[in-house]
Amino acid sequence: MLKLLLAKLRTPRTTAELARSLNVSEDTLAGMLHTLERGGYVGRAYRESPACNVACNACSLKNLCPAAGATADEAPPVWRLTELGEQVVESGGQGL
Amino acid sequence: MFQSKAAPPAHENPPETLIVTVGNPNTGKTTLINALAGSDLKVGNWPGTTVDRLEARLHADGREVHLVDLPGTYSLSPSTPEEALTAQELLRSQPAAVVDVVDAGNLERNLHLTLELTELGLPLLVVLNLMDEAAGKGYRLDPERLAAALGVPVIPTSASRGEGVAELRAALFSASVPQPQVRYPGQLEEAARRLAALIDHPARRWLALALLAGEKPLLELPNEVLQAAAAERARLQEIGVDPYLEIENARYARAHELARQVIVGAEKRLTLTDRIDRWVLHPLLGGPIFLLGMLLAFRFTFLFSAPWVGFIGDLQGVLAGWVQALDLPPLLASFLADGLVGGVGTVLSFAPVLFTLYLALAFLETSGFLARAAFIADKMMLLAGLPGRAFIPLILGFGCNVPAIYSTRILNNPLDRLRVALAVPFMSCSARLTVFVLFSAVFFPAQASLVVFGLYLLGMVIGLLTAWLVGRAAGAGASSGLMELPPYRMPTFRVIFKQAWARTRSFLTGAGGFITLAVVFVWALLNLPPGTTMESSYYARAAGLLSPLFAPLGIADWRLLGALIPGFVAKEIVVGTLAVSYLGAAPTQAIGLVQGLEQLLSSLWAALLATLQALPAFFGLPQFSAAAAAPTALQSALQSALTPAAALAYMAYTLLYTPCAATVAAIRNEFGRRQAAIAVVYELIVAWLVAWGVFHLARLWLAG
Repeated sequence: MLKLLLAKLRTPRTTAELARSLNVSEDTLAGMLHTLERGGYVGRAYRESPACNVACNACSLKNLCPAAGATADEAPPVWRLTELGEQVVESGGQGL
Repeated sequence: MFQSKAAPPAHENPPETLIVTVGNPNTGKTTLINALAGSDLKVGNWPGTTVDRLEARLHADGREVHLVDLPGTYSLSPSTPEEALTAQELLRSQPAAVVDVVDAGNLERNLHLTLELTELGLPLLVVLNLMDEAAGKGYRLDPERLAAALGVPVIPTSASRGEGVAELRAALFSASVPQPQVRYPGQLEEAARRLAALIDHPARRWLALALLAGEKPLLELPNEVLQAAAAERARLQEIGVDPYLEIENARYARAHELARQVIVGAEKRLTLTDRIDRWVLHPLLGGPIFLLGMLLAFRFTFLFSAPWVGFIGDLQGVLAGWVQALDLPPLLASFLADGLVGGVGTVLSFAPVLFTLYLALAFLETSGFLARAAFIADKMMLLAGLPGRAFIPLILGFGCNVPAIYSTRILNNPLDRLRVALAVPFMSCSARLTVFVLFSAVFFPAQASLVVFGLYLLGMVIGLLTAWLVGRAAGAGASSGLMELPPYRMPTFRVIFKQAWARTRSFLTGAGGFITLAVVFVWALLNLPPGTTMESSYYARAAGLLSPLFAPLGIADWRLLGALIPGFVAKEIVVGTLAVSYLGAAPTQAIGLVQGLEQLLSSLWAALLATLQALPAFFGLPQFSAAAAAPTALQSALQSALTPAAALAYMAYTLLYTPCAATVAAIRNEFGRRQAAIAVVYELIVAWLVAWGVFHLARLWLAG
């Protein structure tokens, strides 16, 4: 399951799409992502950026940016494979 | 066999039977305990923490029960102090039974914890709680199947209604140690068995697996066990087995399998968001719907801002007329009327444009549409060979290029970062919009929103092409991404108004100071050397040097060429400079106070009427004239200085040449001087070539 999820993360998708393709609920997918994040296989793109929130005040799309410390609601997270996650997918994907 | 040095149980010589409840957060555990124990509850804190500890004493099956609720957790491998507390308590206190409270409507995720609990060697009882909510979500579950698979009692409940609570109370002492549930891959299973054989604890299998997965031990274990675990883990890694991933993978797979067995009926109920997303995220229709959304945003912007741009233009005219009527020295009158009122005022007159655009964007954003647009753009970029998450810097570039350049840091690969940074300056920021609005309203009044929309698309295409070409030359690969999308919702007017106003104010205050300085500087150059006409000023002579270069683009007027020079510093200055150089050439007529006020009132009335007329036009009438009102002095001057084809070339050039000094500085800071210099030269060349192409194509098209 988790290895299949890692492989599917290579293509950008919405949570709903991905949950459908794995035949799991979005809540279960959230749990799987949390497990993978804990193991260092996926990360939130903007959390890893040390340059976030720079020069954002003039930007009209500030609230859209997960990096800009949105002033309205929390911006939607963007998950991505980390280097370790890429390695797992690259390493042949036994069981995929 | 080594004995684990477990801490003394929290309840030594318990006078009662200790039973603990455990489960994921929000599974209704507290409600269940309330229903079980009535009012005999005690709320305190876990020792040394601020985590709530809920306990109760009750009689069941003729015995005294001490029921303790453990903090909600998704896993026994803790990532928060609360989760660590739950795992430690289970391992140390050795309760007589564990009551696992499962959300029946979210079975698969909850079963992941259940499977871990089956490895603790403790008597287990599963409560399928929230059965009523599960039914509301369209699920039908068979608790018997789960009981058969796990080998433990399973009690369905709806604690908030009191359903199943009596059955649970009666079953508390029937908890049993479950059968092994998860089969791990061969080598891992063997390693876990070998290691478990060294541990003297009922939860030896779970502890062995945790050690192999690289978790910190939650109990004090002998060094020999830890060394053996490290050796087994290293051995597994050597043969290409990632213990953490394999263990979790096997648990999720088994949870999936169990959930499929237990859920005997599921009606998928589509939400409104699901229904809308079927269209908006459609592989083929998604792109056109996104573009249509943006086109409507521009149409809204033009329709509702044009009357107010006209009003501010009239206000400028009246203010300049009043200045002329003051009988000031000619140079001072020219400075006030042409420099400040003309130049700065022209830039400020675009505040309504920005405000209405920001209103439209705030609506698209807070309604959840823009998040989808970003997602669609993400897919398109992958097709173009760009890293998936490059969409963040590129889309941010539409707001302001400077933070967009910095946000390229979300890309790991240095080459990806550079090629996206080279693409960002082609994304049309808000500052460039002022130029597009001015020229499209003069030359293409009936198609103004289409022209501006086309320019935005042109910038996007050139940017993506640039990144693609650089990536292709360097052989870069694609990347990954998963985006959670918020549900659609109807934003309140207050929220979007507040957001749009904050951004407009930010633009005006941020740009105001240096626009004034730049316009004053240009006005001074237009009046130097003293006593000369504008045509023979230093400014006109410097701008005239560019004439041969721009003649093939159909742009010869030194005023238009001169405005491109301060445009290097910031694009907001271009329209201000044009206003100073065009308006300064024609003497402003002095007007009286009353006459001016009459003009302003009449203009205000006209703007209000035009705004009201824009409402039906937005929803119904296809055509709209942005220049329905009488053209301002600047608009008239531009009309006689350029052909429509040359105006398109001028807009294309403004779109594509170096966006502003701050963006160049950002590229230099992030990538170095050389790369910044290459970016500037590349943008100048691309801008000229594309503008040349636009000019010639437009000439053919307009002539046809």
